[in-house]
Amino acid sequence: MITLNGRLLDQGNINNIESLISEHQLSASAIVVEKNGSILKKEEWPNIPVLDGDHIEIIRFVGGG
Amino acid sequence: MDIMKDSLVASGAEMVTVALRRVNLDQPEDHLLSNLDPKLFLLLPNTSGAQTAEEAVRLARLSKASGLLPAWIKLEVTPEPRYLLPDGDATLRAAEILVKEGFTVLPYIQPDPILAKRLENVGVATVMPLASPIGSNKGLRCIELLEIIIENSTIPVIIDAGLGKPSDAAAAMELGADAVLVNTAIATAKNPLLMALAFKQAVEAGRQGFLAGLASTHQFASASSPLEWLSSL
Repeated sequence: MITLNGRLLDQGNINNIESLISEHQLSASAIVVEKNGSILKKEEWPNIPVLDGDHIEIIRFVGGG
Repeated sequence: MDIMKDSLVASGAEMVTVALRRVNLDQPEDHLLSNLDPKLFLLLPNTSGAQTAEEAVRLARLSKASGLLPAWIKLEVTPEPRYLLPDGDATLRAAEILVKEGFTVLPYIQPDPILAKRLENVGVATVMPLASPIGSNKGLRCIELLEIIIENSTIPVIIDAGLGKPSDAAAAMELGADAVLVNTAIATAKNPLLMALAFKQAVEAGRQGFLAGLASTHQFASASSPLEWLSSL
């Protein structure tokens, strides 16, 4: 199980950050990903594994102050 | 979204603030950035939602890591939700860290001239004192303190939060503010587009009034034409 944006999820056959992003049909250009408190560089996404117990946050810009 | 875009254009705004939030995994589509042309506005990421210095620093770093927007950050640290007043100590601590990391920092503060000077000394780009609590539409409630900040500041002063009507924005600009930040007063107006235009004109009028040099005020009447010959009749 992983925690994604505060939600417990079965990681299924997702094994790296890039596949997690495409699984959720997110546009890579508009988001930032944090894993266990560390910000991940986009170019590293394919090499960063998604492991049992990981806390992952996917964040984006919204309007407002 | 269209009303927002048209209102932004009508207002003549040069900067638009944006916040960072978790993606809603049930509704992942959000086209904010693709709807706001970065050539028309400088998109200014903020740390809204941060209740501590650490949270604000984290949000700023996330924003920078996105690579989408310049490393500018409107620094807001608001520990309690009822009045959303900014925490000066935490803001100063976060500002020191972020300036060292190369951010252009625009801190949201209460109208505290001492804090404004301390922030200036750590190298922030502007100070953004509030007129009254955010979203309150109460207008300029601490004019004397804002005047002191403006007088002592060598960096731009942006009056942020609480400006409820165009005349508030004009008054802020007449004081010598360099800019104002307005959302609620326009976004919740019956006709946001017309209100955006009204704010634009108010800001321009207030600025021109400041540049022209306001005439002094007096307790008693002062005739603009001589009266002596009348009294001698």
